[in-house]
Amino acid sequence: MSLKIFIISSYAALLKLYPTGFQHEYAEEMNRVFIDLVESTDKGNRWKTVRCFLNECLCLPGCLIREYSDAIGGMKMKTTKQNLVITSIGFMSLFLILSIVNGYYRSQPAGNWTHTTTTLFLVIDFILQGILYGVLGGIAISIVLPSTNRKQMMLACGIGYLISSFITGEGYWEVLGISTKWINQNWESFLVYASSPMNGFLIGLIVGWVWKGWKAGLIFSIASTIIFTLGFWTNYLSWYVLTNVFRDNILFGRSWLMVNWIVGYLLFGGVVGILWGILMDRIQRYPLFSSNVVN
Amino acid sequence: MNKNPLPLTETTFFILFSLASSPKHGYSIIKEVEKISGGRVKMAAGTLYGAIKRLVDCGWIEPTDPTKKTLDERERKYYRLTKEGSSRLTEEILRIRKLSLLIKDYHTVVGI
Repeated sequence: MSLKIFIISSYAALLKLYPTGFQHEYAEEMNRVFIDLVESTDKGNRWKTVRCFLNECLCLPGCLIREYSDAIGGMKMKTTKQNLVITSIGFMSLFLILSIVNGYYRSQPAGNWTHTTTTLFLVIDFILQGILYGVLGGIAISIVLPSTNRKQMMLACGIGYLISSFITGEGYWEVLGISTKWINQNWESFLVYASSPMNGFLIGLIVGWVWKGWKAGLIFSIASTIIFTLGFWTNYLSWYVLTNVFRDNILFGRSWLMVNWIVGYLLFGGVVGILWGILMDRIQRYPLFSSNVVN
Repeated sequence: MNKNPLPLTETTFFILFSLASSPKHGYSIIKEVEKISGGRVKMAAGTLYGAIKRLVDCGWIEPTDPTKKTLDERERKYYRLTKEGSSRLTEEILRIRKLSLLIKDYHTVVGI
């Protein structure tokens, strides 16, 4: 393959990185202009041809950021309140159920939430969380995005959650008999902090990929990682406030621990639900991905 | 694009300026801009079409044949200035002219 053909086909591949709406409108012309530019420089001077390509590559990140931020909306449009309400209810009810189960169990003497959780509880907790994420998350997403298939979204949410939780949950490894001897305190802390971003990453990746392909998966995964991280830190902050600031004033006991779980998880669910609602609302309004038709 | 768009960005100004004389396609806009800027501004295709998109969106330029969605081999899509685009360009040129007069006066006063 000659250098010229290689460069032209590389440029054509790079054009696929642009938002689909932009691609439909301008990619063909851009490709043609680039071919013209290469042909005008390709008169025996390979370096000029390479430089022409490098020039395009250098301006590409800036162009992509500008076009995607344009496509996502410049945040000028009003968000549909209904979308926010639906995803918030979906994620908050999900977290509410989880918090009640966790709060109840962990506030029992046998359920000390540090190291003594039983295998049975872990298994039930794991399956329950997967099902809840699948059912409630999947339904909320499929209502907000009418062009999606509900069953696919439920599976995507559930599987995304289960895989990500397994990756970051050393307790689950022990259930399967996988050695966790190498996990010291630093690793343990890392896994705790990484769990929610990982949940967000894999749920976003799989939901986006199932819905509109790899590019949507990539964008959803980045956005969702940020969203889940914010949710996690909101939860963390609520724990900190409830356990430290009010510690001396309120009777500190099992029921208080349960309140902590419920408040923290509801905040987590609220943040995740509202931000996912905004994300999907934006995605739905703009032709970011191919055949992104709003039904 | 900004509703109160003056001063224009350099890219926008050069694109509008290059289209002032006649409709042009993407490649000829790049070459014209390179020529009128004395070789200083060499636009990449990505920069050009990002700017074209925004200029079309705000109605300052338009394709000469907007019904044509696909192009044949070697066929080009031409763009031309609209009335709105033309008046924006004129405003910008007047603004620059005023500035250059100011600079001329400054030279006389300061003596450089």
